[in-house]
Amino acid sequence: MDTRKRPPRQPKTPRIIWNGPDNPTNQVATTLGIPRWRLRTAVHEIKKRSKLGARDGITIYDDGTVRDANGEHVGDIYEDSRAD
Amino acid sequence: MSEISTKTVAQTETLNAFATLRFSGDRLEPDRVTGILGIQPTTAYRKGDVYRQSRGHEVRGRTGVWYLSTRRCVDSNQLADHLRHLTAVVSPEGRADHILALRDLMARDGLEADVSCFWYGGAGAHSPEIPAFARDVFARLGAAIELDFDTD
Repeated sequence: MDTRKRPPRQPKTPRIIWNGPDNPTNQVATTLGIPRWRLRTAVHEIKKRSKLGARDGITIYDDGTVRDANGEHVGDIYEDSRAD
Repeated sequence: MSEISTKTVAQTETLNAFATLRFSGDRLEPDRVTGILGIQPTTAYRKGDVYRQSRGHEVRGRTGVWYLSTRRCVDSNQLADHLRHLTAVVSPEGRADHILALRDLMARDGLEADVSCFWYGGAGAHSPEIPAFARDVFARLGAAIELDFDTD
């Protein structure tokens, strides 16, 4: 039996996969594991609901978190890309 | 029809379309907009309100917003159907028009109105036109129309 003590598991820090005012690319959708049209749908809803303009920049993380240019949490790609 | 041509047809389809109507402003009271339109919004909040919990984060309104999205209430990939739904909310056929009351509220409370049109098509798909009935109704409301069209 292995009695060595394992180090505590560190929570994974979400990684930025998109940052800017333009439309996120297919690579972002692939990283999140969803079709690009679902990603675009989610980004549109999040921006409209949050009173962000089309050209306002957002940051998307690999766990689906979306933050505005001030770093405020404004939504989640997975929540907003669910099937209609 | 060959397999190749079937795939070509499928790729030129509209994959998603919907429209949103939004009123916003620092003095927005959501109940006033709801009271005029007689319909519950998709999301509404006052400036500073926490309006959503997401992954343990509170999402707080930077300004007041009353927001109606057709995405989950109109079952169609035709943008015109979504715009018809929104125009019927603002200017119902055969009933009193809400536009004057909305314009009064917008002037009194310093609100803005805008409409967004989202459309996403497969590669090679042609983006839709904004129908004249929608342009007319939203112009009378004083709402800017924003297009967000994209393809694979």
